[in-house]
Amino acid sequence: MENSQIVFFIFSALILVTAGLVAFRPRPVESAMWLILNFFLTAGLYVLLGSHFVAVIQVLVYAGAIMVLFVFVILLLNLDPRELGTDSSVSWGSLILFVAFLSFILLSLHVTTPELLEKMPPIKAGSTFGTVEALSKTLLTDYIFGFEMAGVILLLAIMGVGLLAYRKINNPRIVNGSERP
Amino acid sequence: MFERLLVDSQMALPILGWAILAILVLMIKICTRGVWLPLFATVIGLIGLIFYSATHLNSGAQDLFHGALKMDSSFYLFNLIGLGIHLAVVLMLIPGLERTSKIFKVSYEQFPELLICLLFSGFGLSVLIAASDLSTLFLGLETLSIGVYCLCGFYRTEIRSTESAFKYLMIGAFSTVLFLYGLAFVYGATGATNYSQIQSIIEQSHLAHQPLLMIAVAFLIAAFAFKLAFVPFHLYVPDVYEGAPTPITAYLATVIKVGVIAAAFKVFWGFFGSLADYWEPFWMTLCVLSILLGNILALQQKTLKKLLAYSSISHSGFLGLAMVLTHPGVGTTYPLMAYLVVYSAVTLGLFSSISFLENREQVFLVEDLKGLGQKRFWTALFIGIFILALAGLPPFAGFMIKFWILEALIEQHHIGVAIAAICGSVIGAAYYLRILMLMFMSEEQGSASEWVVLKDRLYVLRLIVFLAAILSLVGGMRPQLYADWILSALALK
Repeated sequence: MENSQIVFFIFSALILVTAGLVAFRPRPVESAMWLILNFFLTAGLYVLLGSHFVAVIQVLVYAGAIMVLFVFVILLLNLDPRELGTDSSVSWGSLILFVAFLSFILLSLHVTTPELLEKMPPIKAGSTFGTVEALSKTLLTDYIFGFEMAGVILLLAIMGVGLLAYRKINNPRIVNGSERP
Repeated sequence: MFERLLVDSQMALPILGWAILAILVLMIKICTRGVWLPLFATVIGLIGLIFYSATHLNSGAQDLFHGALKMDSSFYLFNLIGLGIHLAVVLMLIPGLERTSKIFKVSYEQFPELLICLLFSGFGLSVLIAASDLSTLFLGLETLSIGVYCLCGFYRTEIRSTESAFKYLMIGAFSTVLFLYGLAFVYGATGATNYSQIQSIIEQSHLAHQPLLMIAVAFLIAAFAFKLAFVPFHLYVPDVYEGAPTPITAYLATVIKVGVIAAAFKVFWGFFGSLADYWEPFWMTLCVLSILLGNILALQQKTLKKLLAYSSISHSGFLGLAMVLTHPGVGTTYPLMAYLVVYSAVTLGLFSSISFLENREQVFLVEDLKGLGQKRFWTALFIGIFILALAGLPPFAGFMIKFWILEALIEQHHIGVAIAAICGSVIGAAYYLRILMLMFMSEEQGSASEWVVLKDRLYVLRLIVFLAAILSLVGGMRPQLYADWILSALALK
């Protein structure tokens, strides 16, 4: 067994464990924390596959942006622990449905993967495909216009937020968006 | 490498000019207070860009930025239409600066931001028109839409305007997802993002029957239909048009249609040309449905802006038909261009008259127009001209543009579609004529004749109304005048 294979199995096992913890921990914040670990481990898998850029994006976008959104929603919902219930039991019907669906997906992957792998172009040893260097080279040469355009979209979005959410600060009567009684 | 980039940037000045102007206005806004300097810069910049585009109309087709953009004669013409609409909308917004009611006072402090959003939307529009790569197509459409979402919510202390922006954002996000999904299927089926590469791959390897491409076509039709508000996808339009500030409603009714129809023209006839047997029937059905149902639903509307929203749905049906008729080799792009020019001008004129009369604190009902002909004769007369032009009655340009489309439909053997389109227009005449009856034949006085009108000190609204009226009159009586201009612009490809 090669080293990378051992690492792969360790990572996948940890991913399964953390995914289970996300699903079955009673408190939502705790689930969210396990989800972060799950994202980092998935990023590790991408690194093993040689696509460094996707790994970085995985950490930045999922563990960074999307997790903040999750935690924010949990904060806004402000759930009462009593409402959540103490027993972490899952109903049998949904469990059976979930297992059936999962095994269907795994089975279809098992059937189709060998055929798809044959169609894939062979990856040469030392290929730079998927690395940050190769990707940035493509972005800044062939797709330079789209790259710059994305910057314009971000600037426009900032302007739009300024347009829609601006409030005069020096008006003492307006606090947190509503007028003081 | 770098020299190439510089040369390309120089060539792409009609496109990059929009972004440069927007950033310039942003700089002015940061450095100075007040609204007049950014406004002045915007107007001057737009006029400069119009002159630049008009003088470069025949400069031949170029591929820029490694095939990301392609500027041909149709691009210059679409871009010129877009620039004209932007200038008109900026001018329409000016008189609101002097309003003293609360909504206006709070909102117009941010007039420079509004101008910047408007200019960035324009940048998106020109990229969308020039796109010859799937990535730039998507980015252009998004820049156009994000700007417009913000513009719709400009009166942010007013609930109607906020509702309009929110609804448009939600529906827009949904249509974006459909669009992106369709593009992903195109890439998945062909493995290329450049239009010409995709076209040659589809034609050479006989991919025309591949299910992946069928799915891509279905998703792209749905996404374009959302943006153009074809009938099964039109439900958001009345509320969005009703709530947005009136000049922005005019913007929505014109700019979005120009950009999306140009993009659809390049996508469907650009690389889906060999799949025409599949998408043409669907597209035509959507168009005919919008013409018929848009007009039928408009009959029941009580609010003026909702009525015009439904009327714009039926007009986008006609635009869609004109897009199909540009079939390379069989048809010409002439009916499409003529329709865009005349429809945009008439819509801008009509909405300027409405924003002149409007009292933003209440909803503008059709009934409010009663007896306007006696109280404000000239305004009523011009509204009458625009209404007749939209209805497509003979002495006005609205008739000629519909006539050209119907003529081309019959030439290309779509007689059933032509009959349905004529039926739709006849139904449409009913509610257009009702507005005229209310204005000129009613004895009672509606509330519109009592509202305080906008102070139009710089005569900008009157200028737009006057120019639009002249265009619709000249276009009806001597269509050859601008027909020649459009044809000469398109002739040298």
